[in-house]
Amino acid sequence: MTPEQQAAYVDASAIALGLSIVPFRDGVLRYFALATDMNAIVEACPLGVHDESAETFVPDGLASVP
Amino acid sequence: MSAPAGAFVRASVVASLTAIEGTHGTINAYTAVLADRARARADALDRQGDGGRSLFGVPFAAKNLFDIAGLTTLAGSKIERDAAPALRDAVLIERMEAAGAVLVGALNMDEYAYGFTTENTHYGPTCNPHDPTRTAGGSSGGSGAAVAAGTVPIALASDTNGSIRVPASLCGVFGLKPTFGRLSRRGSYPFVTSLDHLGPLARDVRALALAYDAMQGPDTLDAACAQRAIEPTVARLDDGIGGLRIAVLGGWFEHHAGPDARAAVAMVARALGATTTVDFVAAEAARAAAFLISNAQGAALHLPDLRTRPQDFEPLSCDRFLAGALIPAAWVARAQRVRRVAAAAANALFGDWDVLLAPATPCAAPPLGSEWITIDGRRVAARPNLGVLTQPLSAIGLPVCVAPVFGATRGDDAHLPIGVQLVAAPWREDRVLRVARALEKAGVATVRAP
Repeated sequence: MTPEQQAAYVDASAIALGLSIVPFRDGVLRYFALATDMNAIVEACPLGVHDESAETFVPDGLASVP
Repeated sequence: MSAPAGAFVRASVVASLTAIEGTHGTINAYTAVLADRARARADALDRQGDGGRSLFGVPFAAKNLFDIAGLTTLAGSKIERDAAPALRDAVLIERMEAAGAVLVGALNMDEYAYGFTTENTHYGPTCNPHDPTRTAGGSSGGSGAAVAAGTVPIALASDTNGSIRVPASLCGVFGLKPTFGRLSRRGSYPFVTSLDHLGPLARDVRALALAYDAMQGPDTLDAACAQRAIEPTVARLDDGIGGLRIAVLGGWFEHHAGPDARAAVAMVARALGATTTVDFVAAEAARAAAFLISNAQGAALHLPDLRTRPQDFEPLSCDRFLAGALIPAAWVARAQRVRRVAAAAANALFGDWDVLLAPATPCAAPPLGSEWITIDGRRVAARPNLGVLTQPLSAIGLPVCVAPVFGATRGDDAHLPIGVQLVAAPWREDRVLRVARALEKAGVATVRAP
């Protein structure tokens, strides 16, 4: 994403989430750009379809529900 | 304040309260001092006798994201002041007190644990006991400073991306981030539930291990807590390092360390006879994944307040939280998958090595208010990069003990400590504690009075 595309995305998604970012917009854009850089590193890591998420739901306790 | 003759615990608690009073003005480690509660408990313990309890009469304090009955759990924020007081203590506080320890206070932190410097606008910055013009690190800066200043021998803290290890390094105390899922988090204010760990900081390895052992045990009411039996470490602390295969982490951990951090690792490696350098090739990806997950999940937790009262957040982190709320879901989902790939890469190293060494922070404690630090000639933002060496390891949940080193720093930082991370395979806290104890006995890892 170019800086302009990032700004457009930030403004649109803030509206979608009901966030008023106006007084913080410069900082939000700076941190979103940093997140974009981090995502590029994550995207560069090869994954297969069987590489599972580290978040795993364990249904502990459900066995005790009548 | 004075204790009646023969009142061992009372004397210990009074000494701690006196030390808190004497250092508060310069260090600002505490946000609440529980003098009445501590004195009442001390008197009760003195009446009961030690009963073989491992931490009998030992004062301790807890980061103010731990629930303390009767107090509002602030988590470093202004917003939570409106919340009702906690009805009971956090599980780990209960377990510490069951072992005979006495809670004396709640400790300062970065708001909602999102930071590495404890520069808290609402409650003031916590200062480094070794130099009050320097940061104590964060987010558990109060915990690191309280132990380093000698107010308590043990403090409890949390570590999502380095919040136990960064203050331990910068304040020069021992710190243990156990394996993810080892210690119950019930009764603590969350930051990022898929990354949050709790653990102790202490003035010596035996106290660290005693606290860790006392806090172990399953808890079915913390979804992330592993249902493992207690695996005590204290009895084998002095077994030495014979038989342990120890190597140094290079690559990312060398590239992001300044000369003082590298010197500290070299001192520790020399003492342990570690001559091989190995590379955790997924460190950069693990760090990036942790960054995205923390930013997005941390923000999502606070979305209602970000919508309605953003001005009440810490000014140093509000825009970061807002940015995190906007991160696409696909980025976070992929980051969670990358964590597992990174964990597999690290686990492969543990087929050949038992303990790996890495610097804990890129440099010693920077001055409070620093916007930038220099690492190997590169000027980088101070606040996110103080955790650049801890974040890849918590991202994959490995147990890490920080060993404090004096004598590795030079120039304007020569009076300051810096820490070395001792890293083991999941569930092998015993190994990092054994190595820490060996370094302590050799005089390489030490805690010094400010």
